[in-house]
Amino acid sequence: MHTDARTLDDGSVIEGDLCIVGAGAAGISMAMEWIGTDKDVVLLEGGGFDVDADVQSLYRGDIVGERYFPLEAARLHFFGGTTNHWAGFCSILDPIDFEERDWVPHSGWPISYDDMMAYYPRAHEILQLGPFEWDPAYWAAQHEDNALLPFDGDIVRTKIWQFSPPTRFGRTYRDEIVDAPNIHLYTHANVTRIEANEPVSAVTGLRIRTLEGKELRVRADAYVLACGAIQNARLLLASNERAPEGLGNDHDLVGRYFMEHLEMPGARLALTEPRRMRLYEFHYPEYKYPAAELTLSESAQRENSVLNGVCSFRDAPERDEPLQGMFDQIPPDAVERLRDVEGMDEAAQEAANEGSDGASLDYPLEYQLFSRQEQAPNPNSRVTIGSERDALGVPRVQLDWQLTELDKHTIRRFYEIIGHEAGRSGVARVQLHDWLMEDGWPSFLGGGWHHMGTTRMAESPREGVVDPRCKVHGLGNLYVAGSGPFPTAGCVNPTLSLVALTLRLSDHLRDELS
Amino acid sequence: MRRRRFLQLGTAGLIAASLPGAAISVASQSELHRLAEPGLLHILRDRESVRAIGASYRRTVPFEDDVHVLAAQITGDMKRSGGSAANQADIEKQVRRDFDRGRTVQIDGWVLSRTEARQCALFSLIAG
Repeated sequence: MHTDARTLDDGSVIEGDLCIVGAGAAGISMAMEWIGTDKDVVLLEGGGFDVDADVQSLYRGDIVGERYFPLEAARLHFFGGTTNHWAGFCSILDPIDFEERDWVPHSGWPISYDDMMAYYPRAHEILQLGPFEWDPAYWAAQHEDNALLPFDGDIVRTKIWQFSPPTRFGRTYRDEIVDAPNIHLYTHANVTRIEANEPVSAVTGLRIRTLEGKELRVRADAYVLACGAIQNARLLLASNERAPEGLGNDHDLVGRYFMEHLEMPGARLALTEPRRMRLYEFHYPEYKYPAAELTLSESAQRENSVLNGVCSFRDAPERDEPLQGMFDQIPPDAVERLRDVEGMDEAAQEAANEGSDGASLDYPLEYQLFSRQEQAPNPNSRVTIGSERDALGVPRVQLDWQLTELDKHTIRRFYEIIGHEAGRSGVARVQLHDWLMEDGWPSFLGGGWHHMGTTRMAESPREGVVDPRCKVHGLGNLYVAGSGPFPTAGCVNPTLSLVALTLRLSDHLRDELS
Repeated sequence: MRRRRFLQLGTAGLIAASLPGAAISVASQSELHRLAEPGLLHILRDRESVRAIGASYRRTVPFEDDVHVLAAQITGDMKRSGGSAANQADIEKQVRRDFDRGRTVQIDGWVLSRTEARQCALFSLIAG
């Protein structure tokens, strides 16, 4: 069922068994799990079914650390959330991502790789991915030109990516959500405050405002924040009526450990001879075939005390062409361009209709190696709220994205190892870009638009905002879904993993509420 | 296309024309031809880049900024491994062996075997 919150009477109270705040990948995935159950689920979406500049501007915030994307463009604020324009890149976290690594401060998940693996197959279906196969050998066997690079797997291995169509949650699952009698979707319903009881041990309700000035309330037995890592932290910090530092923030952890993936060119690779690289090529914009990247083995990561990371093979620029920064390429009308979701999908469809089998016609001899690297968990990399407020009266966020020497050490060492292995195997020679030999970060430092951390998961409330079930420490009925609870970022785009983690939370809530 | 054109032009003639006679005392002229033609020339297809790498190596290791020393270093390493500078396959093996043993250097960002870096240095002296 769908209701536009703007049509409700001022002061209305919405009631349900479970309230999910946010209708993006996490919120919709969770809501879908509850269709047909005997529970009434309230699903709140701050926007409507299409992008709206006024709603989008609620996400505006200040960047006070490393340069970053404009926050009002970094997340989409309407039904379907950021899946309305994502590219569909999916891969799974590695076992080492869950370990406490003595060379990575604050690493280690309180749940295991196997815990997550139990939920990945279901997440696969939601994201409309191919077979649940992540072994490079499997994909190498699917096509005669899919040969793996002959690297020593104990040092450098191949990591597989699969591509969602990409699933636009807002379109794909809208009818199922709206038609479900027990799912009550409210659009244009922005949560402005989470209300807690007097000992601050449970949430008693949510306050909602519409841009037209109506105030509503929601009451439920359990509440799930699924607004994205930045917005979830913002809501917790802004809900400071009974807890001056914000809800769940007794140990000053909410908003900290903000993580991104470092995305930038790191090296040039020159093949020793023409080689079919079909599996390692990304076939933009259709992305319908699995693709591979290079990563360091877990033993190589341990031996070299580095974070996880991958590099993809991209078209090599001219040798004297300056490297361009991702943040420099954002057009001034970035928010307006978000509307072009239809155009993006049409381009992908046209490419798919051409009937390509994913094989390019030429054999490039040079590639640019492009990094996607785990960022070290860093308490000083954080989201806070400032004094400026948005149109609904909620304090705007400040993002202080900060990197560490371990991040820089990793990317430099990563390419040195790739260079050694490329030479040893006779496949290629690798040239590290100059900036890797210099101090600091270059102007073309980029991110993946991936927001993780800010409500990290830990057994102890002194080390994390949520417990291993994703329940906020100290609050009996408040949960966080999405990538905010990730204690470490791994090196893969977070959507598949955040959906898997959300499904795990959903199963837990079923037990809790039954 | 660019590579094919480069290979057609070749390098041996250029090197032979500019060989200093003194080098022959360390290695035969044919050996020097081989040593001063690093595999990197065929990989990068860009003489200027290879020359620059060679020059950078000589600046990094000034002791080896000399045709005789460079040739002696390469042939010495090869002899210790049972190879001969007269045999192109042996040179390639030596490069692989360098990578296997971690005998690599980073010059202008390139991760290279010590042998091929010295070959680039020779190229920069002889064919420069």
